[in-house]
Amino acid sequence: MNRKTTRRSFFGRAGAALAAPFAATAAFAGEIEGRSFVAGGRAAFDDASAIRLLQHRYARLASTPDRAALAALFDDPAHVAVDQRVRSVLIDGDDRIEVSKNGTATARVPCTVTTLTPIEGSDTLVEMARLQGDGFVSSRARRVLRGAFVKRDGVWKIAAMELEA
Amino acid sequence: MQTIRYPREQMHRIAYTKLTERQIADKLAAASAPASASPLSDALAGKTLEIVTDDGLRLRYRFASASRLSVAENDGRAVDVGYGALVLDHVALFTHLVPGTQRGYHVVVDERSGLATVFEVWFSGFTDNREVQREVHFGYVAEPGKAAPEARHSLTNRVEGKGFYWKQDNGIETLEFYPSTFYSNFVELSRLGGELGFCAPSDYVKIDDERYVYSRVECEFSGVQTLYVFDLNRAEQIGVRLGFDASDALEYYVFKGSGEWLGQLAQFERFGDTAATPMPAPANGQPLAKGARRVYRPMRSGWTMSKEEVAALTEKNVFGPPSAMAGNRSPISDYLVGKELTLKFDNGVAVDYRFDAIQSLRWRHRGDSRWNEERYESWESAPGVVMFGHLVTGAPKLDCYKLVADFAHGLVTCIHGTIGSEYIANEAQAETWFGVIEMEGITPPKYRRHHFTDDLVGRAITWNYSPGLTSMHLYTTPHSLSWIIFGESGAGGMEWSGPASYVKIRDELYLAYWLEEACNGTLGTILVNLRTMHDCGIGYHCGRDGLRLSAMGAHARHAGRFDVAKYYRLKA
Repeated sequence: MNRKTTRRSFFGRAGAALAAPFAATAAFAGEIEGRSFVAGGRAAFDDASAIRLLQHRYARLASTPDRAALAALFDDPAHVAVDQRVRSVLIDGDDRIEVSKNGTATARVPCTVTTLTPIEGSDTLVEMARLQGDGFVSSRARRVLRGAFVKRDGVWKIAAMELEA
Repeated sequence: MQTIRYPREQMHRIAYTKLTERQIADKLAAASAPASASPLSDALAGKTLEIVTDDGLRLRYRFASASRLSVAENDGRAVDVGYGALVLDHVALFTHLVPGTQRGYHVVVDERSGLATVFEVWFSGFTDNREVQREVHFGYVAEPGKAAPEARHSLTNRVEGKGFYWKQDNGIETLEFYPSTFYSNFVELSRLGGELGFCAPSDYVKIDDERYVYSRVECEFSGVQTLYVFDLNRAEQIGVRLGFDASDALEYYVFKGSGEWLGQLAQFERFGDTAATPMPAPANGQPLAKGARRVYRPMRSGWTMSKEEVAALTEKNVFGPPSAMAGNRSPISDYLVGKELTLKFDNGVAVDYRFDAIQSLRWRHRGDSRWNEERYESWESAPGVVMFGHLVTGAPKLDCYKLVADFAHGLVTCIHGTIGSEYIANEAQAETWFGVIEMEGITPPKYRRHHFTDDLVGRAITWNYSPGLTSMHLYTTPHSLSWIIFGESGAGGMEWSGPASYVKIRDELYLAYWLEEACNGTLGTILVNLRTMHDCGIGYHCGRDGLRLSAMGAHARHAGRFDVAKYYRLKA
């Protein structure tokens, strides 16, 4: 597969990724080619922005009890899979988004994930900690939020999302 | 003539009457006003007060005298009722019931700031009708033409870690410890003889930096409420007690008291954190129910078993996979491996041992010919001091022995655990045996023994068992122990207590046990090393999943000490 002709790839933050080729092309290409490129660039920018927004919404909602809002991000709500232990997902790195011409995309973005793992057992202290809303082991780890996306009727949705170790 | 009045049953053993709403209504109707051993204050007589609270409750008072007032709730009709008021410096506390209802109010008014805190209280709001319910309203005294103050009294953690001895004007003496932000511990010195400490969900309200309101409800016991305003510097209190005692008589009185400051335990919140621990909102997004609070109700979790169920148990878990209580346990010791010895106790019991391997021993009672094989674990807490434990196969009450043997001094102490009390069939009980080690190379002492001690009494020590699981022990009396669960912020949270006992093994080395009576039935036993700040220990529990003997181990930190031992000593 020729990745250059079938995918538009973006490395780093969208603003930086798009600004350089757009500016360079507008200065040297002919008017028609330039207009086409601009249109393509805008489409790519829109796609990347929509996917990036989905990533951030997923990160925000993954740790909330609002499963309906989370499901609304997915193409098929049945594919919503969230680790119940996740307390927070903080996107804190540059993303990589690859959009295919067939209306699908993949994306990866580094993040810091805080998980709360319930302490197992039936000892009195454990039970009392649970009763007061505690009884968890908190841990933070660098992870990668990896997603697959699909465009339906012009709207990007999440096909699948996972937190890679 | 007996000078200390002990109860026939301690609080956790009393079968409190399930009072009906009608019974409660009748008893309240018979109470015209709170009693008081001291003269009531007339500071409010002749005055009117309108108290406005942030959540909408509005109370309009007209005080006809030092004992009668009229009150109108919100836009309701004014009703006349008896009341009692007491004053502590610039803070007044008054209390009254609402005629024809099971409700009442305890109102704290700060004359200097114009702020008010209202404890709305009621009965028949829980499965146990007798348990006082409460809702705390924060507000102010409205004055015509004057803007409402912005400040409010507030829930706080500034009382956390403090403790007081109190003596009320009616002779009631207590020790009261506040090691949590929403629980407290109290020792009834005069009512119950001061043997045990008990715990209750509590509110702590800051009036100013010196004065606070404390309120507890003895949930899972009588359900009685004790509320008082207290001054930290002067160790003075004014308060009210409302509820039904063990004989179902209404206790409704106001009191003055004075006390002694007992000390200050450490707090473990971040520096700068002076907030209270908020009550978690319901997961369904609904607002908190009126009167909602966190209450530990261990006897409602269905852990108790019948004698028949206990007799039918076959499952045993002896030092199986470590639990969260053993995350920081010490390595298993091989000190005993290969040794043959006899532990001879002063009660006449003598046990021969052969330690065949690091987790396998044989024992027999002196005189028996047959050896019994058991799985055991042991830990060498200090040089030559080994704790080990095992089940006593064939014993009538699923017995266990938890032993601390000091080979440097030839001494041994056994905590003999059994299953089944006169109250609950699967509740552990314990007795302490002192004795000596007989083996080649040791000549044991004739008279010296390990001995009970009050060295630990009043001390607080935190125990981190594993990541995320930390509690604090507060050794409240020579015969009881309390444990406090820390919340995520480091604030003290839920708390409970049980009978306990303390034995001195060496300087800075103590054997302690506690019984989770009417809680979950566990017998916990730890050997506390205050030099390494590490314990080793053994849990013993009988539940539907079987009989369990399990390792415990945690890292310790000193959390302070209350100076209380003197209150427990027998005096001429």
